[in-house]
Amino acid sequence: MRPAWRVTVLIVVGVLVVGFGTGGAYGQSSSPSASSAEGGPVTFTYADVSPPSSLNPMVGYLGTDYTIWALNYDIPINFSTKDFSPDFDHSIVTSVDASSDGMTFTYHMRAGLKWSDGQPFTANDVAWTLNYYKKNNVPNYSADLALMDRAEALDDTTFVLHAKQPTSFYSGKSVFLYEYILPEHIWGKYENDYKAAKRVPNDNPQEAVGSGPFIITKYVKNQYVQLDRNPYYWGDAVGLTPHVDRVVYQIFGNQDAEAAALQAGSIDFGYFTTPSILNTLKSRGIITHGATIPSFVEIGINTGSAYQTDPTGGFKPHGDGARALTDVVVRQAIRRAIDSSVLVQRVMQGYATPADSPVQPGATTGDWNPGPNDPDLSFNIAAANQMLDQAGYKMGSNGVRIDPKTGKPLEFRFYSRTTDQPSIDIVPYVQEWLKQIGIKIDPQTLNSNKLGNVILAGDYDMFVWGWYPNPDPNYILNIFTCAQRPPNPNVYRNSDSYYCNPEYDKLFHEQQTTIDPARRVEIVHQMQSILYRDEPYIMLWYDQSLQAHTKGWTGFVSQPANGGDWLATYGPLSFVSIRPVTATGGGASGGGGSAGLVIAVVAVAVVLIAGFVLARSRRREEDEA
Amino acid sequence: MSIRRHLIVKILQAVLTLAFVLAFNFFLFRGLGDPTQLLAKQRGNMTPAALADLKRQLGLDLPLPQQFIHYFWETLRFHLGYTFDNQPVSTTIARAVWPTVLLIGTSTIASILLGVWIGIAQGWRWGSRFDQAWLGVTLVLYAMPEFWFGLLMIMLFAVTLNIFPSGFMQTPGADYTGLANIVDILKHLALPFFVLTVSYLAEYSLIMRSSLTEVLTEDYIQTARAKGVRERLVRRRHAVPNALLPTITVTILSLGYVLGGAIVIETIFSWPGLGRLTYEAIGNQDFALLEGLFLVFSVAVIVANLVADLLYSYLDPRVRAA
Repeated sequence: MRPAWRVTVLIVVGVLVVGFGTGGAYGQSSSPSASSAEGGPVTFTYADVSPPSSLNPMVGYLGTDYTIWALNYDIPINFSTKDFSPDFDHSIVTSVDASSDGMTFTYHMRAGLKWSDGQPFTANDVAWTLNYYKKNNVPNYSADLALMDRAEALDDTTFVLHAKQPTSFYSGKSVFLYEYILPEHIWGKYENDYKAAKRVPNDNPQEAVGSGPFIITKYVKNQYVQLDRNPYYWGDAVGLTPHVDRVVYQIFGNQDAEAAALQAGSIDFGYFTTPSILNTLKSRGIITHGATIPSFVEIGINTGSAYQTDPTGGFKPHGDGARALTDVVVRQAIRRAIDSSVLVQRVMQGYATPADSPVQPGATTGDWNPGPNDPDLSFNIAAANQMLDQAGYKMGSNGVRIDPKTGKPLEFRFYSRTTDQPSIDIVPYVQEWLKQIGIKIDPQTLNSNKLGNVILAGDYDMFVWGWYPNPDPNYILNIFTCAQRPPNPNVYRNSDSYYCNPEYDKLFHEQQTTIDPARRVEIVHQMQSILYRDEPYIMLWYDQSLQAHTKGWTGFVSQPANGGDWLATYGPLSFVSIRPVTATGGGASGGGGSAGLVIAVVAVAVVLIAGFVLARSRRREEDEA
Repeated sequence: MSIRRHLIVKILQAVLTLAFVLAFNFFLFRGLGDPTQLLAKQRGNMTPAALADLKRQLGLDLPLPQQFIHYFWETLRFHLGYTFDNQPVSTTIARAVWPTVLLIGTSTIASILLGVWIGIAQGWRWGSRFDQAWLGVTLVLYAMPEFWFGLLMIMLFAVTLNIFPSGFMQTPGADYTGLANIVDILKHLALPFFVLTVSYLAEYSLIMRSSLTEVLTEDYIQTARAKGVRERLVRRRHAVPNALLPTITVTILSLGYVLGGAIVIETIFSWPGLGRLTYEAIGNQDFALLEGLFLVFSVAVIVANLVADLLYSYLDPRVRAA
């Protein structure tokens, strides 16, 4: 054999030996969860492709971060897994007394609570945390605490929340305080240095001292977050003893590799965004689920862009949005020409639910649906055409209607986002439907930042985007108030439809200040009805969270009970409840050993043959020399 | 031109390039738009005051020229700022350097050694069956998209055979230390290392092959053979050293790109290096981190270019004279 061929053989053999040799051993320990059987910690590994934005509860903002904080910290009152109502049985707070004027709220806590470092956890910690968040305007919490004046601790187990104005928000009748409580003995040193507090990575047990069932013990950026059992967890005393010792959140670079890991059993649970991957996993025996989540997608409309120049109502129009879209009849006609259920089936492959209101059906104020007093805005092209005819939008010769006030054709810019495939995929459907009612759209794609800038400038007609609201509807309802319009071209606020309706604003204020929770529900439903009538948002669908787990795990508690998320709920309860099916369960480690053996045998055989060939050829070469 | 003058000119050129890159980076990322609205949507729970704070924290409340001066001055003082998650850019980058050096560095070196070796063997016996076979293989490897090859390898080795992990650098949550930790890292390294080595080696072998083929037609090879020098020595002393020159240039330039990581492969294999960091930073539009990363990449490439220039003029006096 010539030397060059020898090199070739060596390369092939080398790859086989290095590859299969080291790999053979891997097959036998492919599932971290299987380590329980070997005496190591019982580990549950869930995965996604989204790295935490930060583990610091004053910095992070992604759902990923909230899931981890829910394990590490407590909020004063937990959301029940059934329907987001207050769950005093599984909270650090056991009851709330509200004063009759709706201004003072006294919270009673469990006695004997401890932090994960063994220090006592008292009402002082709660009061300190709430005041600190309030004082520093911490983004995640600023809206919840807007009506709070201050919090104070009366004794170790009692704290009082003083409101700025009468409200039912803090009465404990529904969960409103979504604030993670921090230990003052750890964070108190940043009392006067919020900037330094924000720079705490919070990625180790010394910093991440908490009161939840699991505590962050390690974070390797873009790799994984590891949480271990909190030895002082208060839940043990009320029957909330976790069945696993360790929870690992593994961060993949792409969903294909994540799906591969789930099939190989090296992770136990995975989140996905691509329906086809979920369908494939399902066909291979993995348990899959499309969970109902509050996130929704809408077509936002420029209802008349204007800067809110003073809080009492003065405003100055800006931008170049189409006049016709300020007319509620045109917006209603568009609503009637778009069939959300078709988009859900064709674009989302069934993994979504058609939506009517920005307030999710599972919200703390309950489900709302259009009733007999609301206009009929169901899908009906003929009815939409009739509405536009009656309002004087005459059909032009080219099939595009004309705005009678400006003489301009109904041609609207329609923005999708580059990073959001469904927003692009819906365009042909919307284009065709609107064509049938004499409206032409000009589809364009922008990145999210640019679209944000375009909206601030008011230079748009329609766009596709979405929100992920809290279980309490206060925040999502707030974005439709007049005061959420930006005051000038440099400052963002939350309104992206420039909707402004004094009647709606009045109700918004009323739902904040009423002290009767039942009355609040009525008002919120009334507001939903107004939004449905006025259509600043053409609601498309509520998203689903695509998730899958191996057959090795059970005990998942979904929130809400009816079709909710199996794992990343608004609290730690599912993580506390999950457990391996049996001691031998937890993955596909069975086949790995024999495969490894076969490959090892093949590799050894290849090495022997290669060695024999090399030895022969060397001898021949020596003979030739 | 004297050697010293040549050196000074080259270094000056490198510094100028770096200054240009610095300015370019700043405007490149600003062109992506203001991320405040996106952050507001993602956070979904911010008062106007909190939004204004956020904008100030990101340094986006100042006029553009002022932002630029601030950026340039701070970078000169090696202050790269803070990432979106409030961590220093410099430590964030430093943590991702070693995984990248481990994966991209080793596989680049392995592919250079193997590629050059194969290229020499091919070029020496140009047109032979061996040459034709390897030419076919290397051309296929050269043309093959890395992400596709990587995914195929994951399917095969991580799912079907279940003998390699489908990504990552260590088994999360496994608490290995010492030798067990090293073995664990090697297991995770094997698959991406293999994919990268195989994808990269084609380039080196093709260059080495064509370069050697050209050298073999030179008169001094003929002379050496006429003098009765043994074939092996003709190859080792006369042909290969001359044919190596273009390969050395490509090699050193490639080493400059090592720090750039392999964004695609690091993302496919969830490898915690600079490539993955870049991918995530683009997703978050983390300006400070992106500027820091691009600065590091640019410095690496500029330094590699400088080294290649200087080394080349040392190895080949004709370059210096020109």
